[in-house]
Amino acid sequence: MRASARSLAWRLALPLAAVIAWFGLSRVLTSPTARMMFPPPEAIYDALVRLSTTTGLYGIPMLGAHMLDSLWRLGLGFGAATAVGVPLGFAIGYFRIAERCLDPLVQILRPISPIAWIPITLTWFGVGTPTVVFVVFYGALFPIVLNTIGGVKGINRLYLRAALTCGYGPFAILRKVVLPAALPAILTGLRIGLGVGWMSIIAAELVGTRSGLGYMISEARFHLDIESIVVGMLAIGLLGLLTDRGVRWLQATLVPWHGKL
Amino acid sequence: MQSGDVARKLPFRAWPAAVGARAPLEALQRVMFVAVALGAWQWLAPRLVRTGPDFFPLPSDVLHGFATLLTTAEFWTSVVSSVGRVLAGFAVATLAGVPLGVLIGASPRFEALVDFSVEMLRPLPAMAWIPIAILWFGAGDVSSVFLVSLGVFFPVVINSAAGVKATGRVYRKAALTLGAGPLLMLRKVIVRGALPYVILGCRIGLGVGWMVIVAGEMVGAQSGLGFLIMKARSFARIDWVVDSMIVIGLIGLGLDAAIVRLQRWAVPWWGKEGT
Amino acid sequence: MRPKLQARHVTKRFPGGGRTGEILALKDFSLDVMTAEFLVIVGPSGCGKSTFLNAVAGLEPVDEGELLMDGRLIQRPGPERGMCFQEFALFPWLTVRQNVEFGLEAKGLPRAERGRRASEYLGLVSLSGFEERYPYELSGGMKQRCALARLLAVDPAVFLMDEPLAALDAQTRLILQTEILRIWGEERSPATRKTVIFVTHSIDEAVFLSDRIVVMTARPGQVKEIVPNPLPRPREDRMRGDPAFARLSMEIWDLVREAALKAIEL
Repeated sequence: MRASARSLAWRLALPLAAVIAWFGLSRVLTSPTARMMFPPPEAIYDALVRLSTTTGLYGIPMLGAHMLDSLWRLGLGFGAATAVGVPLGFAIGYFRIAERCLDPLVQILRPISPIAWIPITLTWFGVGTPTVVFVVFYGALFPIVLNTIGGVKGINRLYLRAALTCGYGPFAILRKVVLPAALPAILTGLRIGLGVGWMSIIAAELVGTRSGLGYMISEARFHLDIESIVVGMLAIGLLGLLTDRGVRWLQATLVPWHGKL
Repeated sequence: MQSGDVARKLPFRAWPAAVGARAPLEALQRVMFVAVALGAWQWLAPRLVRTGPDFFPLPSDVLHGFATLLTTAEFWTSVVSSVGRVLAGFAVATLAGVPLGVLIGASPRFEALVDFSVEMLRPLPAMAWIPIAILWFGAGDVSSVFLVSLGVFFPVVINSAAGVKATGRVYRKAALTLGAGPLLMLRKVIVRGALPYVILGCRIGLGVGWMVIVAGEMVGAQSGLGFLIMKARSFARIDWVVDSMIVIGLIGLGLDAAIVRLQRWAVPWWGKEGT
Repeated sequence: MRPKLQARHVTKRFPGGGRTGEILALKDFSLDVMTAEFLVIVGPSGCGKSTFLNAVAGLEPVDEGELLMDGRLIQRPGPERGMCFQEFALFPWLTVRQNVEFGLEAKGLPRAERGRRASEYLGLVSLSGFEERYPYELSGGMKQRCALARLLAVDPAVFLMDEPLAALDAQTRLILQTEILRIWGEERSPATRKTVIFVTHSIDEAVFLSDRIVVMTARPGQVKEIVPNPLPRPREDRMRGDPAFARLSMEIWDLVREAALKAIEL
C-alpha cells in the first residue's frame, strides 16, 4: 500500500478541482438569473454565516435550531423504533407462536413506504413534531425488525443444540447464545434503519412541520433562496455522515469479531 | 416419554420449520391471524377512535374507496406518470452508474480519485435534493426524473464497484493463466462476475427511486401518485389516501419482483452453493 | 538436456506481518525442473510452495533471482504455464462447456472449433454429457475434472497444480490421483507427456504421483532435499500397500516433520 502524500493529493484532486471550477464559473455567470440558479461560493458562505448567527426563538441561531429539531425528532423516532423493533424481531425470530401472528402483519405493512404514510399521519396528528416522529419511527422500524429476525434465525442451529446439550433452558439460551450471535445483524439493521429514518425525516419535514432542516430547505425554495437551500443540504449531509459514523463506531466496538461490511 | 420430547416441546427453532403435513396448518394459522387483525380493525377501532372515510377509514371504507377510485381517469394517469418517471430515472442512473461503478471497482487509482467525493455525497439522502431540483427544473417531469436518477445512482455505483472487487482474485488469476487478454478479461470475467452485484444495486436503487418519486410528487408536482395522495387528503378523502398507500406499496413490490425475476434469469448461478 | 524450468536463487518478500514488517516467503530458492517430469513439492504450511507456483505462473514478480522457462525469463502469466487451483476457480457464470472454451476463445479460435475441442477434452476427463451444466451443479471431483479439461484445452507446456485435490473428500482424492496420471499420459511414451509441478501437503499423494519429490523447509522457503521416486510406472492403487511405498513415505515424512512442527508453533 503506497500510502504516501501523492496518494492523499490524488484523493483530494477531484473535490479541489470541483471547487476551483465552481469559483471560476461563478466569475463568468454574473446575470441575476444565473446567480439564482448557480450561486457563487461567497453567497453560500454568506448564507451560512447569516443562518448561524441570526437568532430565532430562544436566542439560538436558526441553523442550529433547525438542526437540533431534526436531530431530536430523529432520535425520538429512531429510539422508539429500536425499543420496539429489536424485541419484536427477537420474538418473531425465536418463538414460533409470535412468528405466526406477527410476521404476516409485518410482511403486509412492509412494502408501504414511510413516505406514503405522510399524508394520513398529517391528517391524524396535524402539522408538527408527532407527524415527523411517527414517520421516522415507521421508516426505521422495518429494517430493524427484519434484520433482527434475520440475525436470530440465521444463527447456526449447531450453537443452539450445543447449548441444549449443556442443559440450558429457552430463556437462558436467549440471553447467552442468541443475543450475542444476533448482535451483528441487529447493528446492521440499526444502521439501515437510521438511513431510512434520515430519508423519512427529511421528506416528512418538507411538508409536515414548521421547523427542522427539511422545513428549512422547503421554505427557502418558496423564497427562491437557493443559498439557504445549499446550506441546509450541507447540514443534512453532515449530520447524516456523523450519525452513520456513529453507528459504525458502535458496530466496531460492540462486535469487533465481525468482519468488515 | 420419548427421546427428543423435551427438545420438541421448546418454543424456539432449534429444529427446522414444519414441513410436509404440518405446513398447510401453519399457513392457515397465519391467514387466521390476519383475519383477526382485520376484524379488530373493522369492529374494535370505532370504539377507540373516530372512524370514517374522512379520518380513520375502516376496511369497508377502504374497499368502497377502491371501487370509486379505480374508475377515475386521474388515478390511472397518475399511476402511469409515476411509474414512467421512475423507470426513466432508473434507466438514466443505471446507464451512468454501472460503467462508473465497474470502473471504480476495477481500477484502484480511479477509485482513489472519486472515493472521497462519493463518500461525501452518499450521506445526503435524495430527498434533500427535492427543493433544489424544483427550483432548477420546475415542478414537472424533468425534476422528477432527476430526483429518481439521484436516488438510484448511488446504490448502483456502490454495489457495482463492490461486485467488481468481489469477483474473487482467484478467477482473475485463472483467466490470466488461461491466456486471457484485457478485453476478454473485462467482458467475460469482470463484468459477468460483477453482474449479480450490479443487479442487487439496481434492486436497491429502484426501491429508493420509487420512494423518492412519491415524495417528490407530494412536494411539488402536478401529477403522479404522490400528488394524487396529497390531493385526496386535501379533500378529506382518507379512504382514497389509504387506497393510494396500498397501490404505492403494491407497485413497489411489483417493481422489486420484476428485478428478482431478472436476477433469476440473468444470473441463475448466484447464491448457490460454491459461489 | 536443458531443464524446462529453472529457478535460480529466487527470493520473494511480502509486506506486513512479523517483527520486521515483512514476510520472507522464499529465500535463495533454486530448482531445476526437467521436461516431461512429474515434480511434486511438499512442505509445511506457509513454507512458500504456493508462492513459488504463483511466481512461476508469472502472477507474482520475484524480488531477487530469476525464473526461466526454456531459457527465457518468465515475466507475465500465459497459457504456456497453465494453473490449477485448490478452489477449482471455475467461472460460476459460465457453463462447463463455456469454461473449457474460455482459453480457446483467448486464442482466437472460431466458435465451431472451440465447441469441438471442448467436447473432446471433456470426454477425456469423463465429463461428457455435462456440458450445459453450471459449476454449482457439479460435485467437487467433477469441478476439478472440469478445471483440468479447461487447462488441457489451452495445451500448456507446463502444468502448475496448487493443491488441486485438497478440497475433495479422501476417496475422491485417491480416485482423481489415478485420473491425473492417466491424463498426464502415464501409459504413453514420455515424449508426449507434459511437465507438471504439483504442490501438496499430502505425503502419500506425493509418493503416488511423483518422479521426484522436492521437500521444502519452513518459512523462509528453501529446498531442503530432492528425493527421486524409484517406484515403477504406471502407478497402481495396489502399490499403496507395498513396503517400498511405505518406506518412501516415511523417508519423506522424516524430512518434513521437523519443519511441520515448526510451522504449527509459528
